[in-house]
Order: sequence, then C-alpha cells, then structure tokens
Amino acid sequence: MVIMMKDTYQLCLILVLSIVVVPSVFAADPVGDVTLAEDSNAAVNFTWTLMAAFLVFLMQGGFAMLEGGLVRAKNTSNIMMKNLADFTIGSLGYWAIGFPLMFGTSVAGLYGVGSWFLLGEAYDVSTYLLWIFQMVFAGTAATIASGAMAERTKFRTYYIISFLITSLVYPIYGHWVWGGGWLSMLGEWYGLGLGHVDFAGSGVVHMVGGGAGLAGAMLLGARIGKYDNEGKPRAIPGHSISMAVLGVFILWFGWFGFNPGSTLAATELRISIIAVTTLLAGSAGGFIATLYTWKKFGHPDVTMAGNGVIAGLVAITAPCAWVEAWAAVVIGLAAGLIMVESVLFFERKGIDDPIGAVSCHLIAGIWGLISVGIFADGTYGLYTTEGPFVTGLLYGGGTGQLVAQVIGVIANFAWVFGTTYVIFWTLKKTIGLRVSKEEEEEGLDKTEHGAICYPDFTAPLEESKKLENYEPKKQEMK
Amino acid sequence: MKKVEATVSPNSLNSVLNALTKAGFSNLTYFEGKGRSHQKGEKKMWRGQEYREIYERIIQMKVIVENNDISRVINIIKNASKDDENMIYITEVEEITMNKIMEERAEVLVRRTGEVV
Repeated sequence: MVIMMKDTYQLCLILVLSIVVVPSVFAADPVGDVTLAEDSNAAVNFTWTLMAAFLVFLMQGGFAMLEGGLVRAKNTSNIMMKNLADFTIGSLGYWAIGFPLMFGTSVAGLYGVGSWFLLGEAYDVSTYLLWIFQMVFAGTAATIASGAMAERTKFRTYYIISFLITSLVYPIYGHWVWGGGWLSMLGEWYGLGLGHVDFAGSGVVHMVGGGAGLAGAMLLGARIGKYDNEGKPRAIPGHSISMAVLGVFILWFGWFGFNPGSTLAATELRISIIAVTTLLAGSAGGFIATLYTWKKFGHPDVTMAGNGVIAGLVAITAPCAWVEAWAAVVIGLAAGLIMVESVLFFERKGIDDPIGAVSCHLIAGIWGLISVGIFADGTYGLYTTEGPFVTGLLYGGGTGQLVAQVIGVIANFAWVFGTTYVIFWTLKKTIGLRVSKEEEEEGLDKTEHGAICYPDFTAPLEESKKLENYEPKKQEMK
Repeated sequence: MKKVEATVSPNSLNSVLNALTKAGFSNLTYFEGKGRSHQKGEKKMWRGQEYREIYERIIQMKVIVENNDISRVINIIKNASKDDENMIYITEVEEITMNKIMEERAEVLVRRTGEVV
C-alpha cells in the first residue's frame, strides 16, 4: 500500500481499499494477520473482491468464444492464440510495469511511480488483492482490440501490441481516472462535479480497448473481399453463431464480477443495485438490437442482438452504481441502437471491424461515460455510501459532472487513439502489421500457427465473384 | 441394369428415401454436396449485409435398378421431391463385380432384379 500512500485523494479506488484496510497503509502485511486484526470486515471484502476477479477472468473465455465465432473457420486458431496472448503476456507486463504506472505515487497527475514487479512494499495482501482485480481488467482491455484487428494481423506484431496496451496505454489512462490522476481531480481543481468518474471502466477498460481497435483496423485496412469493386461492403459470415452467443453469455456472467466487484467491498451493499442495473442494461441493449435489426434487415439478427447485449453492458459499466433501474434500461436501449448504427457506419466508411468491437466498446463506452453526467441520481458516492454524491443533470447536479465526463471522453480518445496509432504506424513501417495476401487467403491458422482449428472441415467457398477482383479498400486518411 | 443419379434438396431427402424403401429400392448411396443449375442462389444475411450462396447444398443419390424398374423409380423420386428443381440422369451399367462377402449377401439384389449378377 505504501506505493500509493502519498496520493490519498478521496477520488480513487485505492483510497477505498485503504479505508477498508487502513493499517496496511503504514506497513506491508504479506501474512494478512495484521490486516485481519485491524478490520473484521477484511475477510468478507477479500472474498468478495477475489470472487469478482475470478468472474472477470472468465470473461477472457467469453471474448475468445465471441470473437472466434464471428471469424471464419480458417482463422479460428489465430483468434484463440491472440486471446491467450493477451492474457499471458498482458499479465506479465502489468505485473512488471503496468500496475505501478497506474497506482503508484502520482507524478503531476499524469502517471504513477512505485514498486515494479510487485517488489518491496507491494508485498502486501491488500496490494496483491488490488493487483489481481486490476490485472483481469487490463487483460480485458487488450483482448477487445484483437477483435477489431481479426483475420489479417501478423501475430508477431500483435504480440508486441498486446504487451504495450496492457503495460503502457491502459495503465497511464487508468492512472488518470482511478490512480488519482488529473481527470479524477477535475472536481477538486475546477469544481466540475466530483471530477471525471467511471465506476467500473466504460472508459478505462472498454474505450481503451475500442480506441486501440479502431486505430488498428484503420491502419490494417479491410480484409480481402470485404468490399467489392465499387467499394460496397460485402458480407463475410463468421463460422459459428453458437460459439458467439455462448461468448456473449459468458461475458454477461463475468460482468457481474466486473461491475458489482468494483466496490472492492462486500460491506458496500450497493452491490445489489449494481447487479440489477448491469443485468437490465444488457437485456435492454439486446432487446433493442433485436427489434431494430428485425425492422431494418427483415430478420432479427442473432449476432447483432449479441452485440447489443455487450453494448448495453459496456454502457452501464460507468454509471452502474449511480443510476436507478429505469435509467439503466434507458442507457441500455440507447447503447443498443447506437451500436447497430455504428456498425453500419464504420462498415460504410471502409473500416473493417469483423466483430463490431469498436462499436460495442468505444462507441457504447462513450455513451456510458456521458450517461453518468445525465442520469446519476445523487444517492451514492465514490465507492462509498458517504457523500459527496455523484449527481447528474436530471437530478439537479447541474452540468458540472456532465462536463467532467465529456472531458474524460475526449482525453481518453486522444490518448488511446493517439498513442496506439503511433505505435501501430511505427510497427507497420518496421516489422509490418498485416500478413501477405496469400497468407490471408490461406487462413492465419495454417500460415501463422501451423495449427488448423478444424482440420476435418472443408473450407466454405468464397462465393459469387473471383477473389482476385478484390483489393483491400484504400483508406482515405487525413 | 441402369444407374439412376438424382439430385434432390436436403429437405426432401427423407421423403425420397422413405418412398424408395417402401417400393423396395433401399439399396442406394447418397452424397452431400454443393451445386447449382440456373438458380440465383440462396439469399442470406450477415450483420445487415445481404449475400447469396450461389452453390446450394444438394444431395445426389445413386440407385442401380433393373431396366423395367426405371420409370417407377423416377416417378417415386419425382413425386417425393415435388418442390425441388431436380435433375435425374440415367446411365447404362455395363458390369457389376463384388467381393466375396458382398457376393454372399447379394441375395437381396438378386431377388430384386431377378437375375444373377
């Protein structure tokens, strides 16, 4: 806990944890007896936080299934490998430098400095608890990008990208919001509500993943065959809708750790409110995506309905603790609608995102952050039942909170899109971002991993026109 | 001896097989495949984008029958797959050879065609 004791800002997650286990602020407690003796609630709070972390860990499996189902059979091993890589290399990166960058002593509110590799003072039950909970979040952020870049990215390059997202891009932005950085201080410094708030990470986790995915998809260009000669988008059907829907349900289940777990304390009984808002927003997103695609396409679209659930969940992640049930439904409905339109918009603009990761995570995440400034009802504070309470526009909180949220959105997009664009561009110019045309047509399972996911399957025909007629659509970049 | 090769849709496979079996023509082989004739293909939808699968799933079956059973078999197949756009080829079978096990069990075929092969 010492690595973060100088930043005793009221606004960060750390403080919440250190309130729960005050003594550990003063001395590392690797055994846990001191922590338990000083706080009888420690046992239940540790159990709660660890269970939530394990649930969020399961979301990796959900992402693997969702992304796997929406890509073609010939690239399934590759997307599985990417999901494995995100977590394995990601957790090591977060252990080495990511965690102290995010939660260490703040340097001008921009980044943290602390015990690297969880050494020294970080060898403490409370710090390790926070580490595992935050680590699974970081893994989630990295995994989101893999979906937008599916079916055409060089694995070697992706490995580097995955490491950099979890150990640099994600922790530094996370520090701004959860580590006592400048975004969380907006309230104190400029009187904008309680500063930029993001309960469980619509911005910190989902916008980061979505923003990185957008930069990747733009620099990669579309998959071969995604656009016809006139530049009109064509369908490239994924290979397993059942896998994708299983993925949605696993993610939804994991979200009950993601949102309610972010209290880091079972003694905060607000967790039941959070669980309900989480469930309702997911349902509302899936519901509206079903109806809207039914009306628009003539069929209730299965994968879009699944994406609608994800969009609803992403949107409620930031406001989940501060809104009522009806507001959660409104937030979910809006997220579902925005997501469908956004998928079609990006497709028209030539940005090929095979699984809709940018729309589900970046766009719905933006809406989630803004919705806090509108719907927060002023009954719950910053991870505590005590005031000051987060209050939005509709509940007489004025525009302060809303402005803080908008500033957060802009800062998030500028930081994440900017840095990842530079990183990906550099990699593109050096070791290359995209596989060759031949490798792409052959499928990345064989060319990148030598391991075909479904060896006994015959590849479905690429229909209707000869593939040679298609060139990846040229990006019109400013 | 003739070989009847009939192309039917997967949907009518069951009714064709039932009708043929009832009439005593149960010895046959069928293949699952893809094919097209003059159709435009099946219209499908993926995340709002319409596309056509031009080569549709088809079943092709091969039945070897006695010359005078030909019209019966063809009628059975046609009636049982009324909604399909099906095509039936008939070719001459010059010779059939069997291994030992098959010869011992060839009674069924002999009984049906009425001649020893």
